[in-house]
Parts: sequence; C-alpha cells; structure tokens
Amino acid sequence: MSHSVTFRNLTKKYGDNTAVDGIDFSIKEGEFFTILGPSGCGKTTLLRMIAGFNSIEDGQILFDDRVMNEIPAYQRNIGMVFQNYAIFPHMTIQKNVAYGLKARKLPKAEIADRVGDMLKLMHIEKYRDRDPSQLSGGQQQRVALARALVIHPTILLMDEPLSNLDAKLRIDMRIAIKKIQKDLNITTIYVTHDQEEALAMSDRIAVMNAGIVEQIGTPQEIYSKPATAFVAGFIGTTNFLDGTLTAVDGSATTGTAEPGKPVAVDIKGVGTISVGARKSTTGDVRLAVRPEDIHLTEPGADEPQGRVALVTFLGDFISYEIELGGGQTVEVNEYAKDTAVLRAVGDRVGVRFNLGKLHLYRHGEGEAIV
Amino acid sequence: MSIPATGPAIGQGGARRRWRKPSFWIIVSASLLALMIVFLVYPFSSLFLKSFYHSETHRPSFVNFIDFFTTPYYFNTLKHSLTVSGLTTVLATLIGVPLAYIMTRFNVWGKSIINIMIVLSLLSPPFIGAYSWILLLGRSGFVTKLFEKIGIVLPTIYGFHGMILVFTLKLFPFVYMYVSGALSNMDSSLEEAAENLGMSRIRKLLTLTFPVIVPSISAGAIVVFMTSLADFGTPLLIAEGYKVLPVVVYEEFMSDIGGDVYLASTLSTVIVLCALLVLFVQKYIVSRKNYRMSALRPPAVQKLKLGKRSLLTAIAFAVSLLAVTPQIVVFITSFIKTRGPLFVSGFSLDSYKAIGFKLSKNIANTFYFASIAIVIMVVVGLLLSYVVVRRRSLLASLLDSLAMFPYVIPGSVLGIGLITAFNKAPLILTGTATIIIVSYVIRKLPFILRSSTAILYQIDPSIEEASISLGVPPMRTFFKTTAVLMLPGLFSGAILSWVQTINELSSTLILFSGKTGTISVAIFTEIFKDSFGTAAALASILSVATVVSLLIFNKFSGGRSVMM
Repeated sequence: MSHSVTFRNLTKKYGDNTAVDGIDFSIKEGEFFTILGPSGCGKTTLLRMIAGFNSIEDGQILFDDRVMNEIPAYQRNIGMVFQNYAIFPHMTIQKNVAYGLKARKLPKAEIADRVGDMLKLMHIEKYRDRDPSQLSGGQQQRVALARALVIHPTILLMDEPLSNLDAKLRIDMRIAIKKIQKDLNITTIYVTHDQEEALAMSDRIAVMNAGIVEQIGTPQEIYSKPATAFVAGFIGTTNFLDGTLTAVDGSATTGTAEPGKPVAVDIKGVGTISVGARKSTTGDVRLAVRPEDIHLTEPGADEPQGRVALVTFLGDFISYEIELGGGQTVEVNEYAKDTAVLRAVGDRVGVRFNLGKLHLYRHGEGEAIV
Repeated sequence: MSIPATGPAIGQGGARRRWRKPSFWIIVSASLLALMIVFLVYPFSSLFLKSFYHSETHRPSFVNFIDFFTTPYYFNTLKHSLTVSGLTTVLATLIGVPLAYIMTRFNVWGKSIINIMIVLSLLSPPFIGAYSWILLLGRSGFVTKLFEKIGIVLPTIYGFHGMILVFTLKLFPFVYMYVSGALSNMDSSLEEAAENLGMSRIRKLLTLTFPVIVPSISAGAIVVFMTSLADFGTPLLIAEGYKVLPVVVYEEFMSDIGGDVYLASTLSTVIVLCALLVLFVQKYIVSRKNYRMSALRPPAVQKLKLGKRSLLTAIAFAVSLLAVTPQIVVFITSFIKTRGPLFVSGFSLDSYKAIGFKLSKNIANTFYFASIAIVIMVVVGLLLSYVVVRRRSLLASLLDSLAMFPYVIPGSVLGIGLITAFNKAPLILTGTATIIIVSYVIRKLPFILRSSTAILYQIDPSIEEASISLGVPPMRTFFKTTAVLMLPGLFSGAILSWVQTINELSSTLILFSGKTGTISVAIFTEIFKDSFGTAAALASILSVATVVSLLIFNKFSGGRSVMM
C-alpha cells in the first residue's frame, strides 16, 4: 500500500538561486520522515516537488521503483495537508472529504461509507454538514487530514500543518497525527521549521540548510551527535566557542588532529581541553556544547573562570549567561531539582564542561571532527 | 487505489511545457490575445497611425498635428477641454472631500437618505444632467421663467458655465465615494496619536488625515477628470459655441461635407495622450504615497450639539439634493402632459404611451446588448484575471497592459476606431449589434480586469493544489474550485458594469444604426427633436432599471461599496 520515496541527485533552481541542491536519499515505507530547516532552506520546495507542483530541473524522484518526474500531480495519489489547510470554502465538511473520492468516480455508497468512517476516525462526524468557516482551527486541521487520508494515498505530505494552531492544541494534534500515521502505516513526509515538533514526531529527520541536507538521522542522533555546526545550532540550544588546535596531547605541538588520536584544543579565554578526533584537521575550530552539558562549580579550582552576567528563572530550571574571558559567553542551565543555589549577577563561578558531550567542528565548513 | 498514469497530462507551467501539447491556459491566453489584437490593437493602432499620415498624399507626415496646433479653432478646443476638465476636477474635489468628512465624522441626520441621493445621482449619463438643467435654467426653463415673472434675468446656462455646473454636480459623488471609503477605513488610533502628540484639530487634519487619504482623493479626481474630458453628450447639449475636443472629433467624423477622418484621428490621438499624461501623473502620486490601512477600530463619529448638527445636515442635504435634481426633474417631466414639443399643464402617461408606440425596440436593444455584454464580461474576467494573476508570463503581462488601455480611450474615440476598422472586408460589422457589444466589453475591460483580479487575490492558490493532489486535473480543478469561488464577486462587479453599459451613450451614438438604437441614443435624438416628454420618460425607465440592478447588486454583495 505505502511507497518508499527515493531522491536521486534532485535539483531545483529559481533563476540563479538553487533552492534544492543535489538531494540524494531514501525514505522508507511507512516511515514518519521530517524535513526540518529554517525558512528558505528549500524544504517546502522539496515537498512540492514530491507533490508534483514544482518542476524538477535535474535528478529523479522515485516512488518505490517508479520514476515520478513526469507524472502530473493529479495522478500521483498523494495526500497533502497544506499549511493553511486549503479547505474548499464553498463545500460542507462532508463534501470536502468526499471530493477526492468523487474524482476517482467511486460508487456513491462506497464514498458515503469511507467518508463516514474517516470523519469518525478524526472525531469530526458531528460537523459533517457545516461550512468550513464555522469550524475552529483545530477542527479545520482534522478536516484537511481526513480529506488527504480518505483517498488512501500511498504517501502523506504535510507542510507545516500545525503552525497556525495555538501552543496547547499543537501538542494535542502532534499526538493525534502520530497515532493515525502509525495505525495506517502510511509513508509520511512532514515539513517543519519547529525542531521540537520534529524531535517529538519523527522516525527520522533530515536537517536542511540552503538547499542541501546537513544530516539525516533519528531524533536522538540528530540531537546528541549533530553532524555539522549548523545542525548543532539549529537543534536545541548550543553554545559555540572559538578555539585553535594547539597540540596533539603529550607529543609534539603540530596543531594537527589525526583520526582516532586525542587532540588538544585551546579555547579562547577558557583554556586547553583534550578530546579524541574523528577526522584529521588543522587550525581554527568551533566547539559546541549544550547548556545542560556545562556545570557551574565554586571558583578557584583548575576549571576555567567566569562571571554571571544574566539570570533567567524558568521554573524547573534556571538559565545563566556566563561571561568567560576573551569576550566569549555561554548559556548554562541548572535544574531546580539538582541545586538549591540561585546565583546572582556578578558572582564568580567555575565552568566545567562535560567532555563526553562536546562537539568540535572545523571552522568555516562546520563539519564535525569530534 | 492509485490512478493509472495514462491520458494526456495538462501541463503545470515550467519545464513541463517542452514535452506536452499546449495546456488549457496557453490556449486561453492565445485566444484572449487574438481577440484583443482584432478588436483592440488593430482598430486603435490604425486610428492613431492615421493621424501621422497626410490626408491627400497618404504619406507619413506630421501635417495633421501641425494643423492642429496652428489652427486656433482646433487648438482652442484643446484649451477648452483641459480648462473644463481641470476646473471640474478641482470643484468636484472641493465639494466631495468636505462632504465625505462631514458624513463620516459627524452625527449628521438622515445619512442613509443622503447616501441614497448621492448614489442615485451617479447612475445616469452626464448628458441627462445637462438636459435637466436646461429644462430648469435654459432659455425657456422652468426656473428661468419663474424669475422672469418677478423681473430677474438669470445668467445663461449655455456654454462654459453650464458645463462646469453640470459636470461638477454630476461628478463630485465619485470623489465623495472614494474619500468616504478611505476615511472610514482609517484606524482611529492614528488620529488619537496625533492628538496625543499635541496637534490641534485643524493641524491634525492638514498634517495627518488629508495626506493619508491623498491616494483616494486622487483616485476619485482622476475619474472626474477622465469622465469630463471624454464626455460629449453634455457639451453637445449645453456648450453651444464653446467647443471641446470630443465634440469636434464627432463633428469632423460625422459631417458629410468638410469632415476629415485624418483630422478626427489626430484629435483622438490628442485626447488619448492628454488622458494618458494625467493618468501617469496620478499613478506617480499614488505610487509615492500609498498607505495600506485597515481599520481595526473605525474612527469615532463625533456627536455635535443641535446648532452645528443642523447646519452640517442642511449643507449635506443641500449638496446631495442638487446632485440628484436631474433625476427628480426627469422623473416629474415624464408625467407632464405634452402637446408636440410643448409642455402643458396637467399630468398624464402620454409620454410613456408614445415610447411604447415607437421606441420599444430601443428598450429591448438596451437590455439585450447589455445582457450579452455582461455574460462575455464575466467569462473574460474569469479567464483573463486567472492568466494575469496565476500564470505569470510575458504573455500574461502583455494581456494585462492591453486590457488596461481602453481606460484612456473616450467612448467617442472608441466608436470611431471600431467603425473605421470594421466598415470594410474582411470583417464588416458596422450597423450590427455585434459592434456595439464589442464596444461595451472593450470599454469595461479595465474595470472587469481590476475587480476580478482583486477577487482572485483573495483566493488562496493552495485551494487548487489541494484539488489537484486529490486527483482532479488542473482545468477541471479551476472550474470546480476557483471559478466557483470567483463567480459571486464577479457577478456583483458585472452588475455595476451592466449599470454603466445600459447608460452608455458616447460610443453607441457613433455605432448605432436604425435597428440597433438603445435607450440612451433615443433620449439623445428625442431631445434634439424637442420631444422632451418622451426623452424624460425614457430616462426614467433607464433610472428605474438602474435602481433595480443596484438592488440586485446589494443583495449579492452584502452591502459592499458600489465603486469598482
């Protein structure tokens, strides 16, 4: 029933601007796959290429083994949920949902059955004869989803479907969509700029930036092992510190990292730390560390020193902005359950990095070395 | 459940076009372009080109223009036209803007009655205004006679004064409508902010309120200017020796002896150039000062004390009553007994009986032509706006500019252009209903296009994509979604075009033949035959038809403004 989707060197250009640049990966059958990225990264363009609304300049899209490039949108049998729902305003809810089935010229009785079942599944059967304008945002969202699913599509595409809902409803709908997707086992491609949504819903995520895929992986992989500095910065909160490779630990001061060997990094204004390298590199690097992977200690020990510049109390945790030397600052989270101390602006603190959770990236290119 | 991938695909623009047969929209665009070339580009380019040819040698020459600018008779008509239009525009603005301010910002009594009077006054051709004012203030006018009895001789209404009077009273409602729309769309916080910052009332008006509505004032003013520049029914009736351009164009073209088609073309070109120039100036002003506003909180209506309130109400009533006077006069006149050209005392339905007897064909023609024109307008509006808004291409922007061009062509020039183009093989249309319907559609094309694109912009393109992704091909998708959604708006826009079409005189007067006369043409010829009674009865029928159409419009539009 469901299809896998494969992109082969897929490219889309608008004039001189390359919106999608040589995308090359596969989405498995039945997978909930999210394309995540900032606005303008090419994610919506990619989705519309899958739907058939954008032409393909180079490369191929395959559903299972079938090349889809030249198949017009109306023959692709794809369910699509639009950001603004695109509910037909001149039709009742029931007619909206029945629309795709009528296009398929199914018998009346079957249409009625399937529409009825789908409205029930979405908990909107009592609105069947209402006009769309009488429904709330969340209800319209359910109609849009019902209309997309009732045609038994082989792939479900969703373009930022939750961005117009309020925060509470958004979380409810996340769960509802995820459940229905698993029940129907339908290949789902979900586009969003909301990293929290992506982490919460997806089997796998592709992080896109400027038309290319930066990383593909499970939510855990993306969060804990960001492949590039961009991913590290885009997913969750990350502190970036500038540094230089100074010496391979214990041996000569070549300033070169060899795969598998430990490397020393001189972080500007912080000091030198030692980590293991994955790829070889030299020179300037960026070090990424999440706010929860830095611990504040009493000053005076071997650790680098800092000064509290800003305190933000957020209930379950407290966020501190710590000024280090050399004009660098880091954000540090202390959880209320772990500490009773509320520090004050101006306090001196020691800063301890959780070395196992540090990530090192080549300066400029942003590729991970640790 | 997947659909077999067979059958011809309808292209969705972009790279797909290379491999597939032309899409529905390519065919639509090409057909629209072909129609525009035949009925717009060909007649008017040949008309304008003609002005650059010598009338005897048939060689390219500027002799017509040299003649025009050196012969005082012709050159003065240009001066006259610009003076009349310019002064009318200034006066109409000076009446329309304050009236709009009074009506939107103060608790004047009887606002709805005042508004109805102003709308009514808009809905008849200007020449009926001229005719009514002649009935009142002309040589043997009702008021003139009245004053003569008590020994007062009123100044003459014929000539320059009369035109200014008729045009100003007829056209200030345009400024009023645009400006009152803008004034009630202005968020009250803007003026409150100005007051809060210490601006006095008058300075607030001058520094904030009026500057912000400049685009609307200029939009109203340009309609006034264009209409008074192009109208020729009014000057024909009331201007007498004071010749203006459209009258001379008409005379040069129509007169059997001494008429000169080349000179008529030259005069046409001059009018169109004047109109274009003024339009560009207005566009320039608007482009520099366009503010998007939507009133979250509409401005407060100020409560006045009895004295001031009565005064402002009296002013508003007096002005709108003057505007609607022609309608009232025509209506009453239509029931007055006549003996030949003379009115005698007492009321009767004689005038209406006379129409039923000899002019019922004109009435039938009017509604028949306008109905066909309206259907074409809706179809063209639907397709053309879609091509322009959703299928952006070089061809689409060409169609867009071509469709806007008739905005600067006066009705008489339009008539002449069509008649000279289609009075010979391969396409002979003179004297037919077709040529009149064509002229109606062309004249309304800019308005149809603007109103239908405005409607289309409010419909989300993803509605169509949703339909396509549910398995309905693009062309069927258009007719099942966007077209259905556009129709109510298009229809209510078309009713306004209908109203203007049944009142159309300038081009019909040139294009009609014995069999294809309309009501407005009949009114005009009856006036010239001194059959004032039948003319008034016809004008009343026209007004009633107009009011009925507007009531239908209001039902469809849910009380939206009547301006296009």
